[in-house]
Amino acid sequence: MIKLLRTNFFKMYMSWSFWLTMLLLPVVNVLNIMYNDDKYLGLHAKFGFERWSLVQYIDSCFGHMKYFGYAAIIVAGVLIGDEFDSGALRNKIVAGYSRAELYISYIITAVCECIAVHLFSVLSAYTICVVRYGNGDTDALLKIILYSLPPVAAFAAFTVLCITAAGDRMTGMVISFVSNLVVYIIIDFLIMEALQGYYGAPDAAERELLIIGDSLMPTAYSQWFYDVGYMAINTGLEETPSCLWCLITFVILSVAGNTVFGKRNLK
Amino acid sequence: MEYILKTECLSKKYRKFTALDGLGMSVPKGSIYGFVGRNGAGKTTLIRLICGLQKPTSGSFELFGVKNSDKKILEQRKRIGAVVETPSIYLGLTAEENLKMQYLTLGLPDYSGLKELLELVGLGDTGKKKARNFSLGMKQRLGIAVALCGSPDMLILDEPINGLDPQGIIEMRELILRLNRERNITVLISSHILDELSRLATHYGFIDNGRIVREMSAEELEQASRKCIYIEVTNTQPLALALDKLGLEYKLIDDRNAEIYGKPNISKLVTELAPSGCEILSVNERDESLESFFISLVGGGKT
Repeated sequence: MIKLLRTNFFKMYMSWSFWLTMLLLPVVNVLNIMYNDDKYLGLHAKFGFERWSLVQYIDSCFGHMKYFGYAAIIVAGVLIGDEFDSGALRNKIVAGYSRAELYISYIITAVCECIAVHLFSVLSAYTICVVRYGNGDTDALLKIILYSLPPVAAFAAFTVLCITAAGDRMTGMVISFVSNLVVYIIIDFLIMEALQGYYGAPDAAERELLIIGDSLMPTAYSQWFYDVGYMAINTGLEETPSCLWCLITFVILSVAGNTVFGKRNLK
Repeated sequence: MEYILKTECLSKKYRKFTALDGLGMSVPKGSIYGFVGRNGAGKTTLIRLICGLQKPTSGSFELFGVKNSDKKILEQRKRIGAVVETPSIYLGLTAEENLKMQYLTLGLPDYSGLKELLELVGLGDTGKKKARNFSLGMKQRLGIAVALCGSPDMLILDEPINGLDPQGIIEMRELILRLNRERNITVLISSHILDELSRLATHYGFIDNGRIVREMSAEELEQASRKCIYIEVTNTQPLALALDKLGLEYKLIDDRNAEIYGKPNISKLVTELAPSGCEILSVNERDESLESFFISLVGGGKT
């Protein structure tokens, strides 16, 4: 497994998609900061915060989560998809690795790759904010980062699953893209509206169920990091998404992918 | 004889289509085994099963004496290198980086031998050129170099000369022969370019409709398809006496026809036959190639 991971990470290091995404994704946050600069400074003064609050200005450092599903497709899709397209996967099977070992190595690589891109986006934006608005709350930062990791992992697992099921990079990436879009537009939208009481105010039990449903879908879960209506992870005033349920999604996607890969006739 | 690979009643079905139908074959150690069959006969399917890319529907095979159902088969697979259909290389990397990737995959301690391997396949001077800019022949050779990482005991090449120009074909042939002779690597090579295969193979397996039609050594094939002279005479009895006298190998077909193996001196033969009054009516040379032998095995109408 270590040998496989070393190979995959070497490939990641050589991958243009990894470095390009690493470079471009933080731009989303930088643009958010530039666009909201007056608002951030105004709120700062209006509410008399002693220090810049990441909890209040979450979209400054986590705004990229809005597009992370698509970033994961590029980052993990190109790297893992290339294994299928180039036939390098064959070399690894002939080299005596079991399919389970191979799939786990792909999941670990894709997750690490996505987390690296995500952390770089967060920390680069956070650094800019600290320079611009003063010291932030590092405890809150670490906590929100922890909350943000399950959907990042789930996005990576979903992309790998799509590529494995399709058997080639381009088809897999398109399936992943369309699925993300459909989930975002239809299911996520409906849950969001239900949570906001659009169809009548939900009672406590219904609200809990809706949040679980929201947490199960990485696209929906990600909204908690950039939608002002949900930027309440650490305030205790609103419900927070459930890391556990999102991790369950990650495990389900990984197991499903491993099962598909194990049974697949490779070419 | 020691066998590297043995298959027994190996079958592979894709829904209603049967790609392999109880195939049995044996690849001797140190041989260049030419796997001959038309497109869709099941050559690539067999290779995929051996490499672990697909699982057989029924039957079994042994690789280095270990059955495919045994968990140790994964260890034995490390002893083979394979190029299945297209070379398994990263197009965005250089030749050297591709080999480094395979070295890492195999967990080799260092990159020693990497340059030597590139030299061996004639890619020592490709420098920073990405594999996507290589010619087809260069990609094939890089695929073989990747397969050779870790010094395998067996090399499986699926249609390695497809699409190569004449120069590329010659280089590929020389490389395969060198690997077999100098490194004692057993080579299983599938191809439908029979003329080329006949210049390489020491053993043959003829496959048709997912079954091995016949397995034989190159000597046996030569015996079965060697050059001979069809001769028609007025009486084969004096002909037999004359051929015995000239020390030629022959086979009498009937009272008037015979096959003579080798190259008889026709003037001497006429002189020997003259006292008995036997006349030569016609002489035809027959040179059965691997191609015609294959067609005689599987039926020409279908090819």
